[in-house]
Amino acid sequence: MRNRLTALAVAAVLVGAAFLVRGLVWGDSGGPFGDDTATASDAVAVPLVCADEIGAFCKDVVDHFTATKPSVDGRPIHVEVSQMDSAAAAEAIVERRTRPLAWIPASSAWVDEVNSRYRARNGSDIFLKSGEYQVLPVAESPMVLLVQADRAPVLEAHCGGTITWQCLHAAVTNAGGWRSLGGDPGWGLVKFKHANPIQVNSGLLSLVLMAYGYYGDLADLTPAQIADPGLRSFVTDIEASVDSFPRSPADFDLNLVSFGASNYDVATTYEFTAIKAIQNAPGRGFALALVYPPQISRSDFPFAIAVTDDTSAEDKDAALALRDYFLSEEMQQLALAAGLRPANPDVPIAGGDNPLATHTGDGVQVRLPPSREADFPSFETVQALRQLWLQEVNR
Amino acid sequence: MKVSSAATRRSRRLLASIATLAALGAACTTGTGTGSAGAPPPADAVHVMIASSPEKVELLGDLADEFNGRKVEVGGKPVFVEVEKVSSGTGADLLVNDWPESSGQARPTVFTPAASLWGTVVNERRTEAGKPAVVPKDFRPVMLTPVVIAMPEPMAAALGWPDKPIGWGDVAALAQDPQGWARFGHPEWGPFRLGKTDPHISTSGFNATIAAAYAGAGKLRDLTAADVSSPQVQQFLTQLESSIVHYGDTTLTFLQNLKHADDRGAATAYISAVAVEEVSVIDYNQGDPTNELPPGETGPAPKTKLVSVYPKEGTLWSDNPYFVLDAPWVSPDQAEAARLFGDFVSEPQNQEKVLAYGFRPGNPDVAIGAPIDAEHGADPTQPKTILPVPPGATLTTLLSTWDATRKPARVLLVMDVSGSMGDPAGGGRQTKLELARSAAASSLDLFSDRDEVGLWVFSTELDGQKDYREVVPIGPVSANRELLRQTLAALTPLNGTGLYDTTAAAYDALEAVATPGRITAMVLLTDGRNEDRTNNDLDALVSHIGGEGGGGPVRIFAIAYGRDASVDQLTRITEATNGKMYDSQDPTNITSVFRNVISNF
Repeated sequence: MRNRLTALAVAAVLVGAAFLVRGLVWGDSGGPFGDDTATASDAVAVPLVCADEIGAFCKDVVDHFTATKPSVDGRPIHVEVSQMDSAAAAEAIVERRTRPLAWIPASSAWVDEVNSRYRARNGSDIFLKSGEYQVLPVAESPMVLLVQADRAPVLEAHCGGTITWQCLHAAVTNAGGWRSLGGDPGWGLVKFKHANPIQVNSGLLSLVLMAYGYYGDLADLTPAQIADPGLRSFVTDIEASVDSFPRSPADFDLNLVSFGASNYDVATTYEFTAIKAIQNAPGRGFALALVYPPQISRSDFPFAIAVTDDTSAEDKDAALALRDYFLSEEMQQLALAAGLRPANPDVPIAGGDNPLATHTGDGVQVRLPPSREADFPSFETVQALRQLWLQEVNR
Repeated sequence: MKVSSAATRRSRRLLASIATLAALGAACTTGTGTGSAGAPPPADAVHVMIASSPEKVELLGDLADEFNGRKVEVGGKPVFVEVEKVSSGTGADLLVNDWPESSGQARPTVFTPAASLWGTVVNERRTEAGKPAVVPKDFRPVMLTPVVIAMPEPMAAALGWPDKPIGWGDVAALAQDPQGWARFGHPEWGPFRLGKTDPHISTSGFNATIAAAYAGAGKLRDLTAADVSSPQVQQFLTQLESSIVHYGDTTLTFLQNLKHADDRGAATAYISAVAVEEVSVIDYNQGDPTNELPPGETGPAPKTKLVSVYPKEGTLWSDNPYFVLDAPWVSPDQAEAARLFGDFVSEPQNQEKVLAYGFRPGNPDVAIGAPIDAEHGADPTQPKTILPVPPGATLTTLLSTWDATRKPARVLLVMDVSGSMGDPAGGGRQTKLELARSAAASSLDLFSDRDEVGLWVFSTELDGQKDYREVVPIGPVSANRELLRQTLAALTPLNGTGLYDTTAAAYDALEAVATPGRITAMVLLTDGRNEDRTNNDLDALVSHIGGEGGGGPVRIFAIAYGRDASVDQLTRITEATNGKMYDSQDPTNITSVFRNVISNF
């Protein structure tokens, strides 16, 4: 994405500084606090809301962080981690129903949206975009196509080598199904799958990619384009081939594997989710392959620190310590082990014993072609896409 | 054929069902409460009541015991989980009606039917009634099993299995073929006989009916209410249903009868195909056709193996959803506690346990293995495609359509009016006969106007030397219903129990009027054993009604009523005709037992 932050070098410097500060303040072997630091009455609380796609990773990092007995100005830091879909969290933060000190949504675009709406109400941003407390990505993952391995070559051949959205549209609307495409008639109709776009970020990104695919573009998608009858038909045609739209990342993960090869042929999901499904599929008697779509949307999972009138310096510093810990080499290795792309450039992908490097035979590419990255559309366009889906699909 | 009349019947079935449940209290649920091995919940506990379909009650009960032992708390209070058995269709009916207290079962926090489509039906019917939805769209499956067409292996092979794909369309075509199995070189197998359960009650029956409707509409997705109401689909379903042996509340009846036939070396004489869940095929091939053995234990393997045919058009999954109800009687603490138990059930080590039950784990991190394999009649790489669960309006319309297209029945009620039927029932004020009369009268609402019903009574020397008497000749229910009610109300007890003579005579009478276009059956209710000294030869009776491998045209469904009823005699009689013996040793259960018996028609 064009608005994706690129200050990874800054992050590396900060990580180094964090280690230094950590060593100076409480030392690597543990701090001055007992085992009850998590419940100490003078603790600095850091309510952290994570995108639920990476909830498990967040919890792991927080557990490690807590184990280091972190402190700020001599006071223990207590992180209260919770997970929420990015869209729901954005709404809750703007409405001040949720008041996290730190937020890791799926994409920086959500931070921009919240800042924009917050600014309109309160006159200033809630999340700082520059300076020491600026928003920084903690991991990345592009949206990919997850395809049944035995059906992928048939579809690619039918599509002339590249699975485009137009080709996928033609395939799912083909009444003859796989038989007409030269595949096994037992595979039935061509079926698509993605998560619910109202409640799961990857579902929303699927609609975004579908729309870009329709226009063959990478940026500047407008509400007027979403209102176009041709696009609406294009989207509703594809959605008609989806049997159900799981309403949480966990449910979606389950749908990708537990029903075997029966309930979809092609799905859109995050690269790290696809890798996990590829790992689990053989246990259910089938195999999956990963294919990058013509337009790539990269989720950068930014760590954003909220600064309001109620935020103290200690709050900000505690959040900063946590952000820097997320970007530490050790935690970035943890991200990589989960199939996420590290934000810290000191943690390489290629050549390592990690899911990205070891699944290149299943279609994973360590280096992505930057020219194919699609921009995240405006808030108005996103709302128009959601409305389209609610009006035309909503199952 | 109009859906409106079917809808009326559906409403009758539904109302009768609710009335039955209300009348019977706890008996209706056939509940098996589990949780902390029978220990009572702590006084201040957050109580999570789980209404579970039968196949996973034992599993969830064991997990509840383990979970309760962990002393998990919500809001500072201990969580106590309890599991009660309720069939999916019955649970759905209860939820539509806000789970009335008269059901005798505590209102559930969690509803876990065999398939999520029941949740869709509940919400659709509540919407029709102007009530808010109570079943959430979000759920996790406890475990999974696909619906398959189970066939004796030689029959499947005759159709080209496993090399040639077989589907519902093939089954429908074969069902209508006057040559039957002769078309495939096996005239000795006779006509094609299909087994399918009542979709109002049974999940596999519902799923199979959906799949058949897809085939009838020539669609693989987007099945609409208009589709299932169309003459094309109604004709298709009518033709398919015409090959039905009988219906029923559970597929286990078919599998038990098949096992009996297999023991006689006549597996292919009873049934050609039956729509069941894959897990039932596995159980059958492990020598446990009625799913009674503890997980991991096996019985004698059948002589003729059953195989899972995964329909080529696609199939549906029994996804055993864990629905934390969004109902006014569920408190936030109960919902949270229920979610915690759901998390526990989804843990990998607990999901691995479902494999021992023959199910596929819901958790994607847990791989499948034995017994989901070819040795047990399953294929872990199947199904390759699915049929989507249609929207709620399509599902409810389809149930009405099924009522209008199902195979009509010709049924003879044969009621014991011996002296012992005048004894008090279950310590209450009513006699056994009074309860049975009432239950039989209520069951008349469950018949369609297209069905035919008659009534005989029996004791000893009731009509001269005969032990039986015809009191209402078999005729259309539409004309007979009131006469039957009045006659039933007037029955009085006298003399002994002339069971064998009566059974033989009633069988002969039915056999004489049996036609392929109708399910022909006897409902035989008795509270005793044969007391006719002039005919006390059970072997002769069994031989008389049994025919070659139990393949005769008349099925006997017997009700063993009260503790003195001869279960052994009735079991032999029903097995001889590939029917089923229903246990109503507690007479107060008789209304629900009658409902289950009538579900065969």
